[in-house]
Formats: sequence, structure tokens, C-alpha cells
Amino acid sequence: MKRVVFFIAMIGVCIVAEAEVSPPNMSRVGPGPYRPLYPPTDKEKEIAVDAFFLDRRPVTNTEFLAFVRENAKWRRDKISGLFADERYLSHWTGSLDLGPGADAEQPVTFVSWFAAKAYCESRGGRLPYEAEWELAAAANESSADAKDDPVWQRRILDWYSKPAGRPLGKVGRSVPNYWGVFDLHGLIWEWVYDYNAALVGGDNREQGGTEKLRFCGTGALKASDKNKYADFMRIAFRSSLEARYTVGHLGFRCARDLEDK
Amino acid sequence: MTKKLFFLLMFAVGAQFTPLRGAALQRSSPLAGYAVAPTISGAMPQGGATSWNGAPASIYAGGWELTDQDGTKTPLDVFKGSPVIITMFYSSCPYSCPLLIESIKNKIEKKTSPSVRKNLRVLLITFDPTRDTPEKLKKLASEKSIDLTRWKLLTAKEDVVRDIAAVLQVKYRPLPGGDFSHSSIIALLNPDGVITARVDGLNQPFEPIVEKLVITGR
Repeated sequence: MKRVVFFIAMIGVCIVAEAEVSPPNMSRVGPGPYRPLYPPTDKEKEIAVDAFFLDRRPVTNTEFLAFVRENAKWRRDKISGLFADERYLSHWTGSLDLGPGADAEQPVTFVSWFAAKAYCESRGGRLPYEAEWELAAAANESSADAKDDPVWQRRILDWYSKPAGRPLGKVGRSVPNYWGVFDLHGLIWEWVYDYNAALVGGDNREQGGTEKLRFCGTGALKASDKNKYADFMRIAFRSSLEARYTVGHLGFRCARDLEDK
Repeated sequence: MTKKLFFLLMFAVGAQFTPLRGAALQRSSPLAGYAVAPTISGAMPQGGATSWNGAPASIYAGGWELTDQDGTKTPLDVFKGSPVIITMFYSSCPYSCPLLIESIKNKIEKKTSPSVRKNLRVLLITFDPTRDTPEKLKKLASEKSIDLTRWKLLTAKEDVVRDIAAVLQVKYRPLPGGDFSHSSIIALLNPDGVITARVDGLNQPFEPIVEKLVITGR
């Protein structure tokens, strides 16, 4: 009898262990609630985000160079203007040469949404959805939801307002957050898969619904929490992006569905 | 321009409760300056950009494959060689879908000469691949008396839909309950697939597109 119980217990342990195994260099994040700063509809004040895997670190120059070597269509001298603007990878010395301006361990920046998405697909993943990214980024070192940690919030805002003339830091040098994920704040801005869902709220069947939210200050007054200024900054930034844009402090990391999904 | 205005407004509002005033409105090269300012201003193409800040490249370069209302695999460049009106929609949308189709018919096609119209093609791509099956698209086409020799109603994998929305600069998101919130973009492609005119919103004048068609016939 004891042996049977022991076996059942072991099987239980194995199943749990199995479910917890993350792909290399990824963390399991969630499940959890994402509370958008601007709930797009009344039903979306709290969005349930399923558990998913997220890269612990942003994709680096070295990693992206390897991808470009394997996929010539994403070289800066080969890429279609449809998929990236003229500044794509402009901080590299050559199409296949990082040079002195791009450190191997810095996060890759000057990448378009199309290029970021293609990279993640080539690695068997995808870009994280905005809700997923925000769920991961809502954690501080000790808690999944750091909204009540003013020191942590202050630190993010300090980064947002800091001069950035200096070179980008290297990935993975910060303290990992509750989920074991590095650099969600303090290093770069990051692409999300549904970047073009930002600020589309309400109902566009009412003509100009999108415009109202895009251009009218009333949106800001309706924000669910005025202390979430950092959230506001990210939403404003994302809403300014188009898929081919490349920017000096905008990089990305990849996500993946859980196996059993 | 509207985007710039948006940011000015947003930052004006933001500045009320943060110390970020000043840093926000700086403009400089993306490699220097402030963490916030260059990223945001850098996201906006500088000078010389067309009115919609778009790519000068043909959207046919994407090589996307879709499925038309007859269930036939259809490349996006199926109408290459003709001017094409391209837009996105979803058929269960009760208001803007009928309006969109009527707008293309009445505000664009009817404003052009029969010879221009004869050459003009229309692509309607759904946001809603789950519900907008070829059968459903075909039914809609017949309800709306759409001329399927010149129009195609298309569905595609979700990822392809997201890509095409990205090149057309359409914003959209699924809503709980199956509807979609989306901007209504109507674009004109020249015979090579380059966007030459674009209207953002059904309440906007369609002249940019009509003029292009009337003047150049393409």
C-alpha cells in the first residue's frame, strides 16, 4: 500500500516537473491578470493572460547576426523597404559585421516589427502579445504585481527620463524579476506582436472612434490609474509605431506558447 | 502631422503629473539625446515622407497567400497589372461593413469613368478568418451584388492578416464576444502594388483616391 502511494506521489512529482520545464533561456510567466491603463471596453478592465514562456533576456546583436547570416532576406543590404525603414541595423558596421558600434551582448535595436517577428518564428517562437509583455513587466523582484511598490515605479520613471546618449547596457545584467525575466525595464523598449492594437478602443463602427481615442485628451482623463505613468508612456510609444519603423532604443524578445496548449 | 499633435497633447497632459517635461519634446538623432525623446520622435519618419509615411515598396513583395470567396488559393498580387482598391473588414460587423462596400461603390467607382472602372479591381480582406469562411464571404458578395469578376473577398491565416494589416497601417484588435475594433483604411495600389493613395476613416473624403484614378487611370 505504502509503495503504491509512493509511486503515485512520484508520478505526481514527475508531472509537475514536466509542466515546469521551460525552454532554454525562457521563463514561464503567468497566468495572471493584465489591467490595461485604458480598458478598451468595459469587459476588458482585467484581461486574463494564460501562462506562456518568455525569453529571459532581450535578443542580442550576436543572436540577431546569426539569424541574418542564415536568412539573407533580412540582411540590411537585401531587405525590402516594405519590411524595414532605411535605418534598419544601421548601427552595425556592415551587413554581416557588428563592428565597434554594436556590442555582442547589447540588445539588438534598429529592428522592425517584421524582422523581430521573423527572428522569433525562425526560433520556433513568436513575439509576445502586449498583454503578455505587460503582465511580465508588472512584476518587481519579489512580487508578480508591483503596482503598490512606489520605489520600483520611481525607478522605471527615472529610466524613462534619463539621458540616453551613453551606449546601451548589456543584456541580463539587471536583477531578474519575480518571473526570472531580465531587462523588461531600464534597457530598451520592446516590440509586441499586436503593437497595432494600441489605442484602438471603443467601437470604430461609430465613425471616428479610433480618432477620438488617438487624438483626444479625454482618453488620458479616463485612465484607470493615473500613477501608471510608465504604462502610459509605453502605450503612447507603441501607438506611434508602424511595422517597418526601426528605432535606436527599440528591440525585442520572443515568447512561446506552453506545450500543452 | 496628426501623430505629432497627438504626442504634444499626450505630453501636455502627462506633464501635469510627472517631471518629464522638457525631455519629452526633444528631437535628435536616435543615437543621442534622451531615452524617451529620441525613441518617440525617432519613430516618426523625418522630412520628405509621403502623407501616410509609408514604404515606397510594393506590398506584393510580401508574397502573402490568401483564400478567396470560392475557396481558391489566391496570392495578394492576383490583380497585379491593374489599379487595386484594398481594404480590411469583417463580415459580421453590422455597421461599417455595409458602409465600406457602399463607399467603394458609390464614392470611388461611380466617380470614375467606365473605362477606368473596367480596369479597377477591389480586394476586401477579413480580420476574422475564424468566422469569415469562403462560403460566408461568397454569401455576402451575393447579398451586396458584388461583381466578382473585379472584386475578391479574401480570408487568410491569422498571421497573414496581421502582416497585411501592418503594411496597410491598419490598427485592429479582437474584442471579447468576437467583434473587432479597427481603423478603416482604404488604399489604392498602382499596378505594381505600391500604395499611391490612402484614406483613413469612412467619414473622410475619398478624393485622394478618386483623383489619382481619374487623372492617371491607375
